Amino acid sequence: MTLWWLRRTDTRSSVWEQETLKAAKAGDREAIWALLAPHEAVLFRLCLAQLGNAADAEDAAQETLVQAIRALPQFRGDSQLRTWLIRIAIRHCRRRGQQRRETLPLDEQTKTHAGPEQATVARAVLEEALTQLTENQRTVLLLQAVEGWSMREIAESLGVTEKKIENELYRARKALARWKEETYGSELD
Amino acid sequence: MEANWIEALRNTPLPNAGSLTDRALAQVKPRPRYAGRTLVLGSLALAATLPLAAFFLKVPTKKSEAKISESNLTRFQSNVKSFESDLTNFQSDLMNFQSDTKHFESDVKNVESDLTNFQSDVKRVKSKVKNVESKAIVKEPTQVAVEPTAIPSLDPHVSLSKALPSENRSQLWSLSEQSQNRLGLNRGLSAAFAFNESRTLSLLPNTRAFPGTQANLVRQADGHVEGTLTFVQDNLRLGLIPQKYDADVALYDHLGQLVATTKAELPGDGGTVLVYSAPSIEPTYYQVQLTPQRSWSEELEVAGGSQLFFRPQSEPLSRYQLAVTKAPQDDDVSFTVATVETEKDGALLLLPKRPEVRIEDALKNPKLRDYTQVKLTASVVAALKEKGITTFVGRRLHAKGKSEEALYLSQPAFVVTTMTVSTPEDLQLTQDYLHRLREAQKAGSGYELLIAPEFNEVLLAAADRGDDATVIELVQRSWFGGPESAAKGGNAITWAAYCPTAEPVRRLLARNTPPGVADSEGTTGLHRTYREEIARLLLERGAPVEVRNKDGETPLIQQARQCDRWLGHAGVIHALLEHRANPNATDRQGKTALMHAAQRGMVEVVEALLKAGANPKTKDKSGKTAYDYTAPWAWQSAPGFQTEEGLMALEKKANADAERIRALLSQH
Repeated sequence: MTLWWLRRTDTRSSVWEQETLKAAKAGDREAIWALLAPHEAVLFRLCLAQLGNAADAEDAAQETLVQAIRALPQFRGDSQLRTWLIRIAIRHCRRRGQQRRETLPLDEQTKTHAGPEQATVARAVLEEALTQLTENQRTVLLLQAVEGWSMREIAESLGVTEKKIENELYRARKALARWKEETYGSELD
Repeated sequence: MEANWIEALRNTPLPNAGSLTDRALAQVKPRPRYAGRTLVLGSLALAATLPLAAFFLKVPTKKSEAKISESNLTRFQSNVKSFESDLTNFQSDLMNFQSDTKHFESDVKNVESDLTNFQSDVKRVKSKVKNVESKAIVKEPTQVAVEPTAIPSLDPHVSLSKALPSENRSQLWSLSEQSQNRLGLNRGLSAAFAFNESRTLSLLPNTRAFPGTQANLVRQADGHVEGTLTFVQDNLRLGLIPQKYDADVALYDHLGQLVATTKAELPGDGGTVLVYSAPSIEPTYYQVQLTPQRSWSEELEVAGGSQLFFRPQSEPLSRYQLAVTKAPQDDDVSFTVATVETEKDGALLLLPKRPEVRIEDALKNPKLRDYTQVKLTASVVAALKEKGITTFVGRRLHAKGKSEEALYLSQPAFVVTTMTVSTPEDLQLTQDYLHRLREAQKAGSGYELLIAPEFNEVLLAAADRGDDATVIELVQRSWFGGPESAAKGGNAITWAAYCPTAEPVRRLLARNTPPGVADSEGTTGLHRTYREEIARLLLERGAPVEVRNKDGETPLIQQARQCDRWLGHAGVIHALLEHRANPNATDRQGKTALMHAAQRGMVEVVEALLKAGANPKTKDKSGKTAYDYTAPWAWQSAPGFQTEEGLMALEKKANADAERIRALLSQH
């Protein structure tokens, strides 16, 4: 009954996750690893979408995990673990982005960590997207198109309504279309 | 592009699986297991053994229980066995507990060493903060600026008459020779007033009200006026003092001491010059408010509170330097903040001097930037580029949904830029003026700046270059309580139409600024202006006369609603009617311009509207006609001190006007 209700309301994670979480909260490092490692990829890609380059994204994802481990005892399990992690990552990226804007002059804000091996079209696209899409748009588009989350899951993660997510997606796609049309033409297609 | 972005996200190689978590785990120290579990088990075991031990001890002491049944013995033996196993468990738990205690002790040591590190970090950070603060004192020019609210006596450009059209200026000073009335002024006025035909002090058209103004003047037998005309603004009182002192306007400090007087003569730029006070009345102090955390050179004697510094009057007034000589922990800091000079005619001139910051330094160090928001329109940017300025220090923002871009410019770098490559001077002036105005209004003042000669200079320069944002901000700050409380939207003409002079609108029109744009409340320039000249300029350029505001009012209806015996608007109504404004248009309440004019008791306007074809029989939603609304004009609120006879005359005239309106309406 309880399990049925939990699934019905979709507010609790799986039973395995609950048990592992219990152990992890008690400080079991293996349990922590088992709990967090599966979410690495989505966290990394989310940070990549927010920060525009892999080096920063890796740092940010790692920092997110560190924060998560420290805050794990306070995690009540009311929401899904990945939802919680996503929120931490978004907050962290926002702070990081702010710091970067404050410390770097205008010209350097979009040209950080320029590794020669990354100087590809993909990298340019990632960086350019920072100026073309808002933070929310990048998050929503990533979770929907890359991670394949449902509208409901995304809405829950970001703490907004599904309608808002739909709007954001629409705006993001529109912005991308405009970007393609105005700036790059058919060069990158 | 969407596919590109998503592909890029997908294709970026991920870090090795689990590596991030591994690294994160390595960063976080394992939490010490503080033997909670062991303690619980130990205490449980102890609790279990105690009754057994008691039982064991009790057995041999009682002879009557010597016969122990076999079953009891068996139970007892099993109990002993379990007690032994519990004891073993307990011993092992005890060992665990001891080892845990050791861990705990080492953890405590770690924590202590961390604490020591943390304390040393805190000390280091504090010393850094001090350094930064001491540097910031030196390098932030905006904090160095002397507060404009507190230096009225040092501002050479306190202008009384700037808001007046030039032909009316002389009236301000030429008091009627025959007037014997005791005059008082109970309505707040800033500057524009004059004696009217009946020798009472009355509002001129184009005046903006300013609260707290009082006048108490008596015309003496020898012709001069005695008494004071006072404008209260913070600690400053501006008064008209008796003519026998050979000066017309006086500035008092908050203690009521006369600080300085102004000449009646107006220099070419229209501002009055602040002159050092007449010899017979000695001022005591020049009040200068400085930001705290500064020590000043001995040229200024420090007296009073922590923020107020006074210079004694006894010192000769030639040239003063307000200079920072010492800042905390930085002995070699010394630069001039501002200089005060006396001109030949005795006027004080405050020359702010900012520390110069090289643009390269500002680029490297964000703390040197001021981040005053300056919106540069495309035309301004183009003008700057023509002058060879290509580097802007600041944050470039793209306003969402607009083609214009806003630049956050750093003031010091910008100033240096303008100095070295000769940017248009008006732009520098604009930025400086707006900055001072914003700061002053934030501090609850700014009045002196709004009537200073720079106001018109900046306004006209902005109008000349089509800088809508500056024009709108200046007008809103001046008459609409600032951009925060004013309606949004509209172009420069929408707002500049409220200016007392037509010049800004004329210059904006010369740049082909559209004349009929409405703001967010639907108000256009034609709704807003009260000057006939401005209305005619707008109408000649095709401003729409039937556009409606949010209350459904056409310009004609709004002008009729606002028309006033002293403030004008009648001229605007004439102009609108000449340009075929519909006199029978109704607002949302069904009221016509005629109803409003009748309600305000304006015979002249009612006549004009009837002549233009206004229907007096139209009824509004409440079923009333213009006749029902007819009332005398508000003789009670006539400006200026009124004698009893004067008031009776005004009332009589107002009632006569109302009767005349009723007669006109019933004739049609």
